[in-house]
Amino acid sequence: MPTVKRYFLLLFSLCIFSINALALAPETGWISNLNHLPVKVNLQLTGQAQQNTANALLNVNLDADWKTYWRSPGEGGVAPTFEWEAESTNIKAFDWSWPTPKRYPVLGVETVGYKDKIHFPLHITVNDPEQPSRLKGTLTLASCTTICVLTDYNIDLRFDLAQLSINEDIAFAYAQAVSSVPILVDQSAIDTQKNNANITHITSSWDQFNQQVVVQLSHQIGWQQPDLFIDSSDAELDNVFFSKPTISVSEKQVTATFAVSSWGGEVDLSNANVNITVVDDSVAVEVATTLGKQIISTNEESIASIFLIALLGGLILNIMPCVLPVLGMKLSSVLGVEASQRGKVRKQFLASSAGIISSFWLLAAFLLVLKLSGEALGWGIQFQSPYFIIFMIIVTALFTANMLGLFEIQLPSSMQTWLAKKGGNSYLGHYLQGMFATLLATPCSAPFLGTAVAFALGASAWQLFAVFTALGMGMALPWLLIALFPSIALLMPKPGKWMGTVKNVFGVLILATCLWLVSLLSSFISVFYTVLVALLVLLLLAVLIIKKHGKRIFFIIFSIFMMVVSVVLIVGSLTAKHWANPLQDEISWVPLDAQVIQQQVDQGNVIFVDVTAKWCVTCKANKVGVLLQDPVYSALQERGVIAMSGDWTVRSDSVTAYLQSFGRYGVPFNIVYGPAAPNGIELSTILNSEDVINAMQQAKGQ
Amino acid sequence: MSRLKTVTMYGLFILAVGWGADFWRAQSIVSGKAPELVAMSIQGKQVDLIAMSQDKPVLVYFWATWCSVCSTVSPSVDFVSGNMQVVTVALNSGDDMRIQQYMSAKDYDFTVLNDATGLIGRAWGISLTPTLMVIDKGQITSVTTGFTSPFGMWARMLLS
Repeated sequence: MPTVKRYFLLLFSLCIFSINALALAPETGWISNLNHLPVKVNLQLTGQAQQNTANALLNVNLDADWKTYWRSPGEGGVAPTFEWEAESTNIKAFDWSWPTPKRYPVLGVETVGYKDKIHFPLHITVNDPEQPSRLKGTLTLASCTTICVLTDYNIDLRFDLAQLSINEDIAFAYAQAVSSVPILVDQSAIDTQKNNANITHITSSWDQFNQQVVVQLSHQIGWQQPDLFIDSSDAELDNVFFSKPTISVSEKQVTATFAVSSWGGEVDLSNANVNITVVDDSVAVEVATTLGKQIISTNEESIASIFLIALLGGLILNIMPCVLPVLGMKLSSVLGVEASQRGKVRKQFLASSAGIISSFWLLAAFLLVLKLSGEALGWGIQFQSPYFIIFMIIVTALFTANMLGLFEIQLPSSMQTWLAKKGGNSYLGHYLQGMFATLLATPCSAPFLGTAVAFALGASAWQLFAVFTALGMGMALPWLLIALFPSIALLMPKPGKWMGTVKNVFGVLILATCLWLVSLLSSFISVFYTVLVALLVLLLLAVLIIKKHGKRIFFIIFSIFMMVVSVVLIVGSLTAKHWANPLQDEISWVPLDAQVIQQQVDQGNVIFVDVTAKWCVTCKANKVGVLLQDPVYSALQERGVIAMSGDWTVRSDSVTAYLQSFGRYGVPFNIVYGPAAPNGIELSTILNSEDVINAMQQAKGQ
Repeated sequence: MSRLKTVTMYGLFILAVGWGADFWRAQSIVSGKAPELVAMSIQGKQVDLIAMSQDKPVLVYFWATWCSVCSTVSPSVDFVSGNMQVVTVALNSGDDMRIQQYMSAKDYDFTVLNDATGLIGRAWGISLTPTLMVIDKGQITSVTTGFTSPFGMWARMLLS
């Protein structure tokens, strides 16, 4: 009995299917253009409809070797179009979906499109579902082999949405066609891991200098042989072309680099909205996203090795010239050590170390905020802000006064008791000194530091903090060492009168730092006001000295100060002929311009680029020690050599973009271009004459 | 010696096939008298094709920015445009501005009539690019499509 029932059911359903096959699902039939027989088109309705939208299928059959194009076909193609607005009745919208395309290079020109049989799933929306509709218009389709043909097809399809009934065959073909269209996923869906495409991570970045887009995608299972396409629905980007990308796959992550071009010259894709389509054996996903600015590091360094590099970079920071201004601060923290208490020594140095590390965390947090707000990032960029400099001037002035014994930091008594309970306010001082030493040490890049910072800025938030922690630990390493073996610090002579003298010396050093910071203000305010600020700082100190030590001491100090200044000036003017030459900057520095570099290289010239900032002490050291000394000084003034300078003293997006195009986030940065090195030879952070001369000769092609 | 013979035979064969293909492709294209073509070029020059062809033959080149094959033919056209009369028609390639950008990006100097909607193409019966024609005294004397070398162009102009 059940068998009979089953047969009956089968028979019944067959009847329904055959009825459906006969039912109303209109199509245009195969249309061809007599001028161009290799291409045929057929527009079919599936008979399915939702509210006022009908599903349809546009079939295109191409003879062997003929190709037609994707919606964004690249420089050598044109997308199919359908003009229906003028002649149709009761039609509101006609929406295409685009099956996953393939690449077809035609005589060296990259095109993206289809071959053989293509099925475009379509949605046709009508104004009034109760009324009959007529879709009429011209479908224009380009097809190419070794010639290209643009053919028009007259589409005329009448249908009544209310009377449609499903055609199973076409509905099946439609469903198949839909499955060949990449799944559209939003960036936010990937960020929250709520997508069925198994894409776990996507980052994209626009590199203005190199006119490149870099995209990085992670897949839950792993990539086989992925290909990526970029396009944009933004009309302004119609004539922007994305090359075939260079793709590198490492396990679950794929990195694709696209060269971007336009007939109109340089393009700017900052914050452009694009669609990134990624295709692989079992993946076809389209991600709508906005191009970021952060350079994606393409090197596959593991977080562990970066951690070590950062540690080393932080350690080297201790011996960079940037740290010179901080030297006084660092040494003074060694001074307060009393031989009696090892435990206290240990705690003091731990406090300094903690200060250094928390300062790095502060920087990390600051960079993270900038990163989230899409701002340009860099190492030491806080020095591009006049407010930061003013803050540092005030702090250094206070430290100077404190060091010279003019001023004691008085805390409210309640806080003092709290601190006493916690172990005494001396630790707070050490902590603050550590913090402060870091902030002052940041204006320069150091070997290894650049690599670590570049990685951190392109990485996720926790990696950023991890790398900055390593940097801090590296810088704090000497302190930590003393904390481990307090006996090192105890090797210092016993405290006595000499301490006062040394303290004064350090006080003067920090005063010099303070005045150096004041001099940085000249980039923001006029020289007159800068000098005024400097005088004000000195006046304040003078008042404090008079108040504390009386007029007599003040005049002694003042006359010593004046004597030192005049001795320096006299010695300077007497020996001027010995050093005036090399220290005069007669090099005609040209402002940094990527296009000029290109032109000059084409003309066979050598270009030396110096990216620098006034607040960068390493840059100063490089300039005084190498660039303004022979043989480099003369070499830079030779014919056929162009000295180019990028100024990063104040915020400059173009200079930042230039730095980032090399994966650099800080100054100094030096590079030499020439006919034999159009992409430039990067020089090390700390210059030496030999390397510069060698690089210039190499770039020239000698 | 036999090698030279083989090469010559191949050369003749390719020429014959090429001519045959040209002939087949050229079927839909108007023949005999060339249609009127009076228009303003994107360079801002008034062009009257029939009038131009009275004195000396004119090379007419139909191309498009989206035609990848054209990018191999256009440099040759640009090359011969220095000492021949050349008029080109850009089919369905966008507005003047876009074509101008294309021209300057590729460093082409030839005269371009912009046929943004394909009207000229339709009047001439041309939907395929690249197509090259020679117009002499108002008559179409030669039609070829697909890849052509500068030598081929020069030979066609000479023959007409």
